[in-house]
Amino acid sequence: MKLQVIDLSKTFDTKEAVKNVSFDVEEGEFLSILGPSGCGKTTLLRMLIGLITPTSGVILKDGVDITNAPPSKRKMGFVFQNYALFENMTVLENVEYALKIHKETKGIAHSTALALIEKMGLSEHMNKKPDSLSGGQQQRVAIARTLALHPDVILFDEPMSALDVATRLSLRKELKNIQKEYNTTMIYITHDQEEAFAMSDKILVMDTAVAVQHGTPEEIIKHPTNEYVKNFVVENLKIKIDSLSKYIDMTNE
Amino acid sequence: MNSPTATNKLSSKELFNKRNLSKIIVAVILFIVMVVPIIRMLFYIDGATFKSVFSSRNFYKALLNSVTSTLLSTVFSIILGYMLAWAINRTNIKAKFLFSVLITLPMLIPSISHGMGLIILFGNNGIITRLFSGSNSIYGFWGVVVGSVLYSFPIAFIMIADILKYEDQAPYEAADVLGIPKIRQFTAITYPYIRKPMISVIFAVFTMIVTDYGVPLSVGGKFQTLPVILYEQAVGQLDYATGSVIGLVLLVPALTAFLFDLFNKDKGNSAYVVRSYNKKNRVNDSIGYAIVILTSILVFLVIFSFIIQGFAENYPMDMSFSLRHFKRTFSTKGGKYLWNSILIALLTSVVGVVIACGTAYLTARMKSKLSRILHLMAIVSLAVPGLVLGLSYVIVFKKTLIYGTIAILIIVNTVHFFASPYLMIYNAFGKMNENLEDVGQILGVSRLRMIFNVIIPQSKYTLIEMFSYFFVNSMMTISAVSFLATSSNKPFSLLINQFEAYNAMDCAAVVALMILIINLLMKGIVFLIKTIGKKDAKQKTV
Repeated sequence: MKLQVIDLSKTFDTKEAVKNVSFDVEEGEFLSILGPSGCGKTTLLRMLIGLITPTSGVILKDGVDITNAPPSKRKMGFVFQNYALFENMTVLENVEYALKIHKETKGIAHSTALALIEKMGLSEHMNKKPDSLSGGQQQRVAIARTLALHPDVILFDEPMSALDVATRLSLRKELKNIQKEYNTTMIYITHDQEEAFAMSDKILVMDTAVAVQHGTPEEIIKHPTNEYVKNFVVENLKIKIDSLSKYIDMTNE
Repeated sequence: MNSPTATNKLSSKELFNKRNLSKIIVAVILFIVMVVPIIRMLFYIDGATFKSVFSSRNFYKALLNSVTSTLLSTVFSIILGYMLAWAINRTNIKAKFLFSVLITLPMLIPSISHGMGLIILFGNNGIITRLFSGSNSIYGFWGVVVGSVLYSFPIAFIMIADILKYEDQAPYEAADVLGIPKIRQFTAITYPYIRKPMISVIFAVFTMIVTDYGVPLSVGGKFQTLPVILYEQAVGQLDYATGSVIGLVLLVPALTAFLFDLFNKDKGNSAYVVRSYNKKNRVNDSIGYAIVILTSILVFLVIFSFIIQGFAENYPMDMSFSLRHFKRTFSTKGGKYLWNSILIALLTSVVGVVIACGTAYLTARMKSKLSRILHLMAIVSLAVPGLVLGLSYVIVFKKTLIYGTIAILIIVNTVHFFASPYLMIYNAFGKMNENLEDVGQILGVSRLRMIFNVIIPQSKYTLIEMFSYFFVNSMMTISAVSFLATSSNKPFSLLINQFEAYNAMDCAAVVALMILIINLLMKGIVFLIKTIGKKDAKQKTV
């Protein structure tokens, strides 16, 4: 599976939210879209899933034009920052709901859901309602619900920004494991440089509405294309590492 | 960012797309049933009637009566409401729930029965009049004032309690630490917080009292108010033109209150309630007990008077228990009217809940510029007093097929009581996760299916509250329906007017009691469903 985004743009009224963004994503790749709040990351992601229709540009999936395909026909999953779970259903019901709705998957709904719940470490919570779970647990349910339909690509819209540091770190590992195990392509939005560099095969750096650099973490560190990438990404990353490194030194002493 | 379509400008092409079409259709329907009749009524007014009403002495006398009695009742009602809200929210008295139920009981019976209760208690043959061998007549100004307070203070209490409940207590703690005196705390913290929402409460209570005909009709005697004249002219003498002129006058306070609320965004509730009230103060507790107990006694007295009057063989001569009045009530078509009422109330609840839900879904979860117009249509009924609505409906529908059927009463009740339940579900829908429909789209679940599987189940308790609101109000209303009731579709509550007119207070008391019992049953069922449901949910999470 290969995803190609060509010259994608979206204009609201007169405001250009996304302007001529192009990039490719290979099968099984982890791509982070990194940029400050309001730079158009979410709009870009919503165009990829089909919740927003682009003003212009093309999205190809394995060479097929899916620019105007309905979201459910794209074989893509989407994980929201605020989980968007069905509060009236238990964890199990949340995960198996979509499978039960579709005729083809109805028969395997229960077993698939149980397996995913176990994989996400939620077995003991499967009969609970979401409001009695922690934020991290809720996000795991949301991920399990997305995985249930076996998407080729999963899109993440800042999925961890509401979680505490410890939960983030463990969830990061799990995401990487899932990526490897299912060979799922993942596109991940974040404004956190460190998160992007820790998790990604490639990073797309965005400034207001435009993509300014697309490359591996090494390429971006070594050859930032302009001052913005240098300041927003590289310098910020250095500051974070500097401020922590003295403690790392201390532990070595 | 999440719903950028909401900020898009509408082109004519977009205006008539599938999404907007449903909004336009609902808005047009609401406009037809809510606004068109009022406009039609205003066109009924002719110059001659207008002049004759505004040059008659009776009109000005009634206007003055209305204004003076309403002003005074509003003041008392707000003071009592505030004291009760304070006792429930700012003291540590026990059995708050029980007291809250007791002091809101008057909301379950028709306004006219409050006047009736006063007559039974304080009239010439009244229970209390005889007890203290007093002779002062309750009829007139003071009767209207006391009756109106009885009728309206529970609403004042509920609205003010809602304001106090959501007031953050952290500033008071800070002020205490800084040693700021209580008086300063009131002027600097409390007053700015409650000012605007209190104006809304005052408007609401004033409008409620000034447009009510039940209390002054029963206990006013020669003291006539505008709604009584409207009622007597339009219902009694079928003089719709005069009625319409007075209706126009009564629209003014209701419309003012509506517009004030519309532009007053400051609803009082603190954005964050850091701390709720938890001080311990024995003196305050004692005062709190005194307030709620005295009020409960007052409320209980009225209900007690119905029981005495309705079930004594022949009050005050023969006090032995008897079902005579009960039987008489049901022998004179009472059974049929009771059945009418229950049917009307149930159907109004079903129709009302469905339409309010559908409308709120369009306004709260499919936001666009049209949503705001639709939202306005959905709450505009707040600006129309029941009496005026009923008059406008009889003018429009008198010669149609539905006149005289229970259908017209279901429609008018749905319109009359639409705004509050609509706002309940609008708020519930608005608070739900904004991405649920997006999830549905991604998972390949249709919007309709999402509504039935996710959106509706998540708001089930709100739906039950809405159902009960429509039901209780349809059971007890005597305003709009009084214009549209005929001998075949008459609701039970209007029997009170009829029995009172014949001075059959005993039967009227039976009717009031029956309505109270049915409404209490409804409230009890709602309470049970909620407690059982919440207990189940708790057990599941443990």
